[in-house]
Amino acid sequence: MAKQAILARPGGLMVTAGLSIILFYVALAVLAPILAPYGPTEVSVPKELAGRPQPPSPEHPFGTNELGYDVLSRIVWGSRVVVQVVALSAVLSMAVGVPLGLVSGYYGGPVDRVLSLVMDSVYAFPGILLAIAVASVLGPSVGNAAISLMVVYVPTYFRMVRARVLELKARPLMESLWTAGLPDHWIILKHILPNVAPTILVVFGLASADAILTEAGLSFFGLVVVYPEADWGLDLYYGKNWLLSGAWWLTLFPGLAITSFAAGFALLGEGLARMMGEERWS
Amino acid sequence: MVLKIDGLIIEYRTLRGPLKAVDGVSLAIGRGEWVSVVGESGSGKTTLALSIPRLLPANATIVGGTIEIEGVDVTRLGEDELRRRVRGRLVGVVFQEPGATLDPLRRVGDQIAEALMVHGLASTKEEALRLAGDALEKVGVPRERVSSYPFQLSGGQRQRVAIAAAIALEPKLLVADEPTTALDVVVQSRIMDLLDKLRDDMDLSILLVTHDIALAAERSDRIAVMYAGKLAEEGPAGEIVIGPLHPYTRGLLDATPDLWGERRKPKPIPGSPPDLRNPPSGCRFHPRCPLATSECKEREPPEVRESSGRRAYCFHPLTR
Repeated sequence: MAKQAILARPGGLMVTAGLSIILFYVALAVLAPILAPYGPTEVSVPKELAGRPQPPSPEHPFGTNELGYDVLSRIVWGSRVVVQVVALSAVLSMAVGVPLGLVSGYYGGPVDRVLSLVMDSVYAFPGILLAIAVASVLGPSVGNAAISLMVVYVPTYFRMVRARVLELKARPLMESLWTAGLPDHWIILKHILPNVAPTILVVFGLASADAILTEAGLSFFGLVVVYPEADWGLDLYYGKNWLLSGAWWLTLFPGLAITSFAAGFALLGEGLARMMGEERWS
Repeated sequence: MVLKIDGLIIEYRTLRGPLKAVDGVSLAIGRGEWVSVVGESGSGKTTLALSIPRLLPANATIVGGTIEIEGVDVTRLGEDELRRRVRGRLVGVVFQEPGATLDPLRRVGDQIAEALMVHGLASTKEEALRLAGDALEKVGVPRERVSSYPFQLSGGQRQRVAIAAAIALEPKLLVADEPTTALDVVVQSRIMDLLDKLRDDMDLSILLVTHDIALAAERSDRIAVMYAGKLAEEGPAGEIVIGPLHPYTRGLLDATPDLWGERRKPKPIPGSPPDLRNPPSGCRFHPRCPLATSECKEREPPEVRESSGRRAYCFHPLTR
């Protein structure tokens, strides 16, 4: 069963597709200086054409905007912002949510009740509103955006991990570990964490997909970077003004980038969940 | 005496009021002795067993009585001392579902070795794994299995591994809570043979919890019959099954099919066990007892003792 090809397993295709999309954008971000045909704020059209967005052409497959910036290049450069914010926020949310979930679920009692109450209160807010609220207080920067996303997604990790720990605690496995006289920290780190890890991976996929959309929302409102820095959400914001003039390429391509990247994570998370549903031990 | 339980009372807090799952039970087990606790579901036998390593759920409290293991009263110990001195060290526990007590993600040897390391019985990983291999051999599993994962073993082998983990720290007492209920009868009998062998090899005392009085009769030195949280009868296994003193024991025996004796239909005990939040007055068995009189309803039954060390709690003990 372990040696089976990944594609043949349930969810295998989804995981492969999701990972490919994610790796594609990560590569784009890392290799932006090599891959991007123009700089993010390079006027790449003759002077007489500047002032109006130019439609896609062989030199500019995704067109240019009114300032003469190449849309394709801005998407390539803009991937750096999303990838950074999402990666950083995932690490931060995991670093906070997972240990709290483990402790809360394992020990229970008043600590668990207080933590759950706090987490549920945060969880009850619509993610995008909460992120905008925190980000507007902190001010626009990549780090601050990651922190506001962390506030939104810590409860997601916390709740899933805690639920899984409670499920594990009800198993005879725990009784046998307690009867062996093993200390709590040992049981949590050596037995519970490895058994919770697959769940964390699934949550990582699904929460990150959501985080990309929320990040796009933040950057749409200028809460991540300041124009003219390249950023998908920000380009969407400025591009929308030209939509009625027929310049569809200013919004379509950044929009596609956002949704496809989010879809990559969603596919990964969903695929992993299906894979584990099949192989979950009883 | 390896284990000496005296007047133990255990109460569960429930939403619908307190429930005495164990009510004034006294029981002793000597070195190398095998005692089986027999009773229906809800008789308190598992609660009694799990109270010995103090592994009761959070809503259970020991309200009264003492549990001495090798002279140590475990009812007075804190969590930390229980972990260091009692669990694994003095008492090993084997549970019902053989597969589910092993961590699916870790090698069998690592799981046995970790307890040895944590308790300081092995200083290096290699030494711990060697001792884990020894423990596996004791239970009849090849040493090489230290590097197997639980899913690579059969149900019977997994139960053996679970037993190996329970005896790896060389405890004095092994508590086995229905260890063979999930296994078929052939494997069940081999596991029982194994427990017998460990008792001889390690001078281990065994407390077996089971609902199967025939199994208990075949294997143990003494049997303790529990009903509704109280001891109904206790004594040498042979005497109990041949000539029970308590009508409940008689009922249990009549409810068991007999392969070799005269042809008869198993006869169930009428009624069902009482709600322990609101137990019957007097003798708790009186609503289901064919011999009950008004006395049984009003007063607690007296202890009837026989010279062989048998005791029963009944107004109308049966005679042979």
